[in-house]
Amino acid sequence: MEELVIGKDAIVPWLSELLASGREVIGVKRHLQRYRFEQLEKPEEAVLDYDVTLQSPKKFIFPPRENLVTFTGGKGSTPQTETTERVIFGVHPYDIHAVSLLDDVFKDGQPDPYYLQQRARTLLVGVDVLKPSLNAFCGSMGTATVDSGFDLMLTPIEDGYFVRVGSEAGKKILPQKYIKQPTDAQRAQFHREQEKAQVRFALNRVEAPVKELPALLEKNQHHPVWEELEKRCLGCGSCNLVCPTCYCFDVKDEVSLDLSSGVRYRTWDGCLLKDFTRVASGEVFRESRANRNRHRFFRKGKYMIEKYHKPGCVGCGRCTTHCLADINPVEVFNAIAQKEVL
Amino acid sequence: MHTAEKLSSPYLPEPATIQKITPLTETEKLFLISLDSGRSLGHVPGQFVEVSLFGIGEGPISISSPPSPDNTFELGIRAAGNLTRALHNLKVGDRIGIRGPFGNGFPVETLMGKDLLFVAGGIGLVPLRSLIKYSLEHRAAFGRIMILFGARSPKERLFTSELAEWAGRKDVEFLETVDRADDSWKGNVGVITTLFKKITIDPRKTAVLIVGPPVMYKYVLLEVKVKDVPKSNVWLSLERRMKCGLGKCGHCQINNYYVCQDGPVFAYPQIEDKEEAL
Repeated sequence: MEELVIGKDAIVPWLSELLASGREVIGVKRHLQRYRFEQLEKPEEAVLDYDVTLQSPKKFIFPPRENLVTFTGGKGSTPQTETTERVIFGVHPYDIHAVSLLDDVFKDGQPDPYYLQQRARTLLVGVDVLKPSLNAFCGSMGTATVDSGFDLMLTPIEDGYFVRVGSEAGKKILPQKYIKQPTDAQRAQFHREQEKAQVRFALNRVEAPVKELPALLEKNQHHPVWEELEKRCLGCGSCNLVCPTCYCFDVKDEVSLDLSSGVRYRTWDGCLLKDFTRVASGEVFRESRANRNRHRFFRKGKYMIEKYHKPGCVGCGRCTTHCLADINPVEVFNAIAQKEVL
Repeated sequence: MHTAEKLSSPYLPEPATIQKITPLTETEKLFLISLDSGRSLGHVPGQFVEVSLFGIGEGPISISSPPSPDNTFELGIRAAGNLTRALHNLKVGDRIGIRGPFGNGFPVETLMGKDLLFVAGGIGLVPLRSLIKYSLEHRAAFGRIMILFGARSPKERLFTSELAEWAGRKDVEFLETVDRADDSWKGNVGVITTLFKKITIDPRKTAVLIVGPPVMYKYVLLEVKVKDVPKSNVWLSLERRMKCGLGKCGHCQINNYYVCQDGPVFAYPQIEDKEEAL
């Protein structure tokens, strides 16, 4: 993988070039006391040393609402889908891992053309984490750093950023006049930074290696932790809403005022919501919040790992931050892991 | 830089036309559907399609007819939700949308040469009818054909003329019961499991095929166990909310299975340890 260096001062002129190129540039902006991915208007708005964003960049590839089919008078057709040449700038390693997983999901079996079309026109410029968020535990999920899935990856070093080039398209958007070859000292510093990233999240640790989670969960389908979650969880689905690897969706129709034309669209859905499994007869197949929580944690810690060989949870900690009942995946996994130790 | 283009979408239903509507009970109708393209649906017994009405929505409906070389197939539909109630209001000649077929269907090849014991609870007869009719069309390919059918009440019995035909055939052993009788009913009364006492099977060569409401499976499986049928010769079709049919939307999951792709038909050993299956 090609390695380069870019100065700190070059970020703003680089973003100016990208904005001038006609691409949509998504960056991290400060919003009140938090950060969020948004379209950049000015290069100075971009923040690279944020802790975590409210939502992952998933929303720009797999939008919360997306038209699947348009119809008029009972006749359906595929909508004119608008895709945008887009650069998402400043994506953390755990979110890059999450996008890689979504790529696998939407390519698997019958490929999803809506996702894949926008994904093909999206470049990811990553940046390593300097300030971990309070609830992040990506050190335990193997997602504190990343070696693939990005177009460019920036690692802060003393006098700028160490740049790893992940794709030709990524290389093409680099500002040629600002890039240099790294010195041996800069390479050494990059490797030290990557090692530091692993311990940066040591505050929140899952007491089991991620590759052992599937077997651990399998043995603990009836662990008391699920009943505890039954009591605590409100079934609000906030965890699903902020999760960078949740991709379940519902499909709904919307009719125009002429009562004949309209759109069939998909919209994010969440397995913690009671109606998620409801069928027309009224049967709900995951009635209890214990079962719904178990399903969510099994998806993240078992089913996805077994199917795609990637962790279904990337340890971003967003679900913990947004949970009204303080449910924390680190505590849930540890409740199970510790029982195993005893 | 925006690009607008037409996608080839797996979510776009193909146009189909209602050719015939036969009322089955107060709440169920049988629809004969033809694909406007003229192509054959090409399904296997036990598969389902996504039926859609633009403006109302889309839902999974099991195919009730056996495979057919022409472009028609049958759907038995209970008016239960928004979509199915709207379907019940349609007339012959009206257009609907179809995607599919989806799912795995019954393992027809594996069943060949075996005695078949069909266990249909209520509306479970609708998907099972595809395989029952298939096995009757290929009668010589199978051993005994035994059909156990249970309805809640006499007026909820489906496909009554076919039930009478099966009861009259010498090469079919047909037993039925109702949970609650009325004055007109002269037959068996009791839940479907009471019929098991009335049949004798050879457990080594019998395949058991079970479709019914969720509550029925565990009781039927107890009877099957009493009959000593190996678990690997038992197949069940499970209902879930198969919204997309493509293994993506997540609504139909049973543990790690996507029912729309890995099911809806499961061999019993596949699901006996799955916490969420039965």
